[in-house]
Amino acid sequence: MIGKKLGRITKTNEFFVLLVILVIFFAVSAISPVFLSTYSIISVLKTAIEPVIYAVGAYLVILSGGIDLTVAGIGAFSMFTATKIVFNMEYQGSALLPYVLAIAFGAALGCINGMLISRLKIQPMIATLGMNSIINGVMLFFIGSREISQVPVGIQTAGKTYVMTVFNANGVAAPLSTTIYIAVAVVFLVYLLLRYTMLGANIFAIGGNVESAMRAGINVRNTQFIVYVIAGSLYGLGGMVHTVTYVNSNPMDLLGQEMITIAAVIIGGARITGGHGTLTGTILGVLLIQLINNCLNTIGIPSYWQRFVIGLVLLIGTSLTSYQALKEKKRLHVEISASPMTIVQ
Amino acid sequence: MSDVLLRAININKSFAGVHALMDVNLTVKKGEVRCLIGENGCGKSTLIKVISGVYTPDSGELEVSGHKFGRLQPDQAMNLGIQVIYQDFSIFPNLTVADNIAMNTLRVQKKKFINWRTIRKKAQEALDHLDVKIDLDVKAESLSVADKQIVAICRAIIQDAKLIIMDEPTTALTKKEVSSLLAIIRQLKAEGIAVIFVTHKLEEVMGVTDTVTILRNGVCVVDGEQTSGFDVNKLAYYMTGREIVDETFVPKIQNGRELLRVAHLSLKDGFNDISLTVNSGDILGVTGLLGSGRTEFAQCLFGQYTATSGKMFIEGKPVKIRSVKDAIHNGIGYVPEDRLTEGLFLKKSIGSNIFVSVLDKCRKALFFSDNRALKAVGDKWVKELAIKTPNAENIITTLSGGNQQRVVLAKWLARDPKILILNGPTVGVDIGSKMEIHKVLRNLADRGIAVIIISDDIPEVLTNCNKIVIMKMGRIVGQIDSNSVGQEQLAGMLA
Repeated sequence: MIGKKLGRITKTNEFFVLLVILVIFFAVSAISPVFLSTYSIISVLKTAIEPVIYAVGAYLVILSGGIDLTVAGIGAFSMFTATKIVFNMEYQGSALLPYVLAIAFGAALGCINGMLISRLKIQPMIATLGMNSIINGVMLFFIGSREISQVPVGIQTAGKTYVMTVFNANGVAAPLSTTIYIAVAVVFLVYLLLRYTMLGANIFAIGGNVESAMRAGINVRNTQFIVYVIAGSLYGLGGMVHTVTYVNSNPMDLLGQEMITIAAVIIGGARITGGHGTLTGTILGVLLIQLINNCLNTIGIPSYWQRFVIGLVLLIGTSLTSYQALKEKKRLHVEISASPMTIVQ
Repeated sequence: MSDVLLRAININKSFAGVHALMDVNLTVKKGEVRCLIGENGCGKSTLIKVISGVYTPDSGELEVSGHKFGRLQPDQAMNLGIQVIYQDFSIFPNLTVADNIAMNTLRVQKKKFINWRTIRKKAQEALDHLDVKIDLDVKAESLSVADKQIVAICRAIIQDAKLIIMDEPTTALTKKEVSSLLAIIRQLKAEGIAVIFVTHKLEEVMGVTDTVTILRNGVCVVDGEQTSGFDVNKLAYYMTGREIVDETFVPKIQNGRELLRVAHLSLKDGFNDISLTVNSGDILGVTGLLGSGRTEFAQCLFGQYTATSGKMFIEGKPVKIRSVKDAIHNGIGYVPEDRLTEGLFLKKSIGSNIFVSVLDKCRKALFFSDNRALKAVGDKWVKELAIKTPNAENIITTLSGGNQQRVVLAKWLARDPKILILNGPTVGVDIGSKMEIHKVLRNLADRGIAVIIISDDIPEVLTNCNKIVIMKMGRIVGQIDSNSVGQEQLAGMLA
């Protein structure tokens, strides 16, 4: 029983991604021994906090059979507008208010996505492509884009509270921010949602087969709508985590984030057609991308190669599964009898 | 009567002025297995959808377990114990067997949270109940068609189904799987669950069903009479309204010249040492069970697979066929098994579906196609094959199944093939259109084309082919003359 279960686990995509992560980690450690340290692990972890939050949102959307290109748009808009509001009101309180504001903006924008897709039946890719453009346009025109580097004190304190700080051999610090609690909480809540609630089961169902879902009496429209709202709130939250982490709010930071996020979800094993993929896979996908970025830095490869490598990982990862499916489809399965037999002539 | 489960009274339903159902009555008792048959478009599916609450009838009443309803909502119908198993089984391919079986019950109970222990327990109970073994943790997409169907039946049972409607449940099953399905239906019947069995395979009707309802053009022509009073010919007569005569095919061209000869052809994991000859004017039937290599052989002749060894001769000359292009070039045409997904461009017009095969022949200077010539090709074949449409420019999906099949035929005929291979030419086609297609095939043979029919429909092979090749486990086990054997005998040879 345990052997069978173990066998099944080793065949999963998650296991494969984990394997790649370990291989990269130890290979880079072999090339440059300083890499093998808690310092490296913490450095990867701390850069993964923000993208994990985005990826969990994007994962929910992809799971439901949709796609969301507003990750960067909603993230940037929510964090920047929220920061600007608290900045203008000369807010002195904790980071709670900016967080709540960012989540609210994210949810509101997610609502619009949800409306367009579930009610007007616009293709998710088109709807979110248009929305991303509109959100960016509105932000540039009405709210401005000049970065806010003098963020309110609450955000500053939040950004400077750490769970732990580790140092490398040269005494460079890698502080792990308390924002990691937020990422952990998000993952945990979404895990509960998918595993123990009917809403979660319905998200899997509509991603698997919309027609069957309707016949089973699932309210497909409402489920889709809620998915985009949750995703929007998570992008908003992720955006605020960005501001807190860097103690600076610059909407341009998030440019291109949607593509990296979708790449992470797909590398983690989710299928773009929906219904397949796990939360664990998504987190591993993010960790793999962050690890690659970090390793390239360590080995001293210029940062613009990072995108190249991530693209490569994405294509190799997906072509492996695609190739296997293709081979399986082409294989013949007739059991040919060993000797000729004749019944009638 | 208290044992009446469902009564549909004077149901009328029309779509855009066309009567789909006219004063249809249907009464089903507890534990009754009713067969609902009729040609495509006779109103079978409309009736099912009215019963399951998907459609609102224009007039009429439904009575379920003694309660009268003017109309039903889908969830209401489910709560009353009416479950439909559609042809695609409405399964979630990405979910496990346990989820597929038990999740819908929770939905009906409007639960907000999931208790995994109950789900697994319920699913296991349902499987045990039918005495089948399927791994609960396997994803449904990896199951065989028969197992998917069992999952769908289990799902219906645990929702306290009183009436299970199965839409064409045997289409994709092998003989053995069909008999285990029929065993399950007998079990359901013994438990007092009524089953409505929708089908067009008349032979199967006789075995399990108690009573039969036949619809023709929206009118109920036979309502709940005992199945034992019918035979296949009588059923066919009621369905089509005309006498169907099965005349055995006698080729007009006797001793035609050799068109195709295959010598010791083999394909790894496909078939082994196949030798046969087809002459002009012949209709050759290649028959065998699923997995006998019949389809692989057909696809190899058409160049979809390259033979591992052996030789092929067309009109006596040796040919090498390594691709579909080679096959077409050598005058071989192929009509695939699944006419809807493999052979047609569903969004295009009837005409363009026909002339697509001659695009390279009807060309003017440079790359421009000769549209007038193309249109003429489409119109010609629509007329020749009597495809029922006012205009060849109509979209292909406006045609019925049988007419769509003729369009696929027309596409290949437009290229003037010497050899035409048809894989399961009448799978999923109703009896009337089936006759029409057979007539067309006989005409083709009489025009001098060598026709090869790949089929496991024994009556079809026997009446329409003059030669039959029987395949089993990748080899030929017999080559016979069709008038030398009977149905039972041939069925015995396949197994």
